[in-house]
Amino acid sequence: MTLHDRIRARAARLCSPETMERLIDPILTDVQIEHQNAIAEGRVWRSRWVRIAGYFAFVKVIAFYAYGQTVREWSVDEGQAFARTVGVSTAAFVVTALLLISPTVRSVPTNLLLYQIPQTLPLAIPVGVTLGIFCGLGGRVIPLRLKGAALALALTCSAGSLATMAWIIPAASQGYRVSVSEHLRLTQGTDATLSTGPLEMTLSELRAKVDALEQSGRARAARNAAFAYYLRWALPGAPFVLALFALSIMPRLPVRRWAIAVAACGACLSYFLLLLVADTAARQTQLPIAASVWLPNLVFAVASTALMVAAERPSASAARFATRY
Amino acid sequence: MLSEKEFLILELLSQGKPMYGLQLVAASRRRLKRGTVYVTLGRMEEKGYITSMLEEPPSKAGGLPRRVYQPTALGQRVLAAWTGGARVLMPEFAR
Repeated sequence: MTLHDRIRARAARLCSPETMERLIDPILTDVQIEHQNAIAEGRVWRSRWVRIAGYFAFVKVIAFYAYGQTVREWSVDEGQAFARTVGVSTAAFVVTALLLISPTVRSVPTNLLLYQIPQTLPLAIPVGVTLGIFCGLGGRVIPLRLKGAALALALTCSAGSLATMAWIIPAASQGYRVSVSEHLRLTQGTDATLSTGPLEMTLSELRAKVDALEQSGRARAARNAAFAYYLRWALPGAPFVLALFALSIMPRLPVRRWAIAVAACGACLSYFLLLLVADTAARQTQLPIAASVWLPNLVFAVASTALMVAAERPSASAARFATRY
Repeated sequence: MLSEKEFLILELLSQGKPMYGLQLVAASRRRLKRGTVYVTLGRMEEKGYITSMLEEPPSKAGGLPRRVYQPTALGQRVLAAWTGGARVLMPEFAR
């Protein structure tokens, strides 16, 4: 079975026969033929490029199709509510990122600010998603598919946050240090020695550092490095658990806008306060680091589950009303 | 109402023989993208502006039949009306 056949078989499970005929088969066939033509002409690199570009285009087609299928079922009101959620999320994300980076604007040269931006993202993303969901969907009955779309948005943001913490921040941080070192060498003639800190390490490097510190008996340093390591896994979970919490608490909130805004800010602040508690617990007690770092996610997940379970049960007053009439 | 991409596709298809997706991408000089051309073609087919058929499979390419597209009579009328309207509203467009 060729790659083409495997992709086609997977797509056939997801798409209707009509979509396969009109959308999937034409693109796969065009890519396959173009690839074979390039091989027949002896253009190996061209054939590889055709395949990469073709399958990338295929993924885009599938994404467009999935989005179109989801939105097609929605009412105008639902579409507007989701658009409002995305809009508020984006605005809140940008404002939070700007607020977080503003203290460094005066001390860091403008050309180096770009390297600082990634560090704001893991905090700005959950704030953006939470405010977006609270303000975009608050004060209304949320149908199941809109909840699903909001959770899918949060999950995508979590994935983006994980990628930022795992790869982009270490690369940007190292780039910043190299640029500053070069700047110092050129302007002051001083050679700065660059040692890699936890922020500049990739996940595997950080894990190896934790193990090395533990083996050498430096328990405190090992705990600090382990906190940085587990935080990279736990913090990207924030958009998802906060979105889950927002969706489960919103039916209980009053419709008033100020109450929704206060609840949104309160949820974000509570999460970050819990993270501070986790940080203190990890550094000053003997609690397992992983448990303390995952504490905020766990608390919000449990609270969301409890709220959802409570919402499923009929309230005492409703039960009294039902028995009386 | 025709979108910019739909207009471009109709214009390219009206020039002669039926074309397949990647051919349209190449002929549009990068104004159409691989990732969106098939979605647009599918939507235009649903609207009835174009029709598609499977061409004879070429023997050297493993016998895979390509789907080629051509404008319908409705598509050609829409294109003519759209171009005519644009000439009236924006004379510089027609030059």
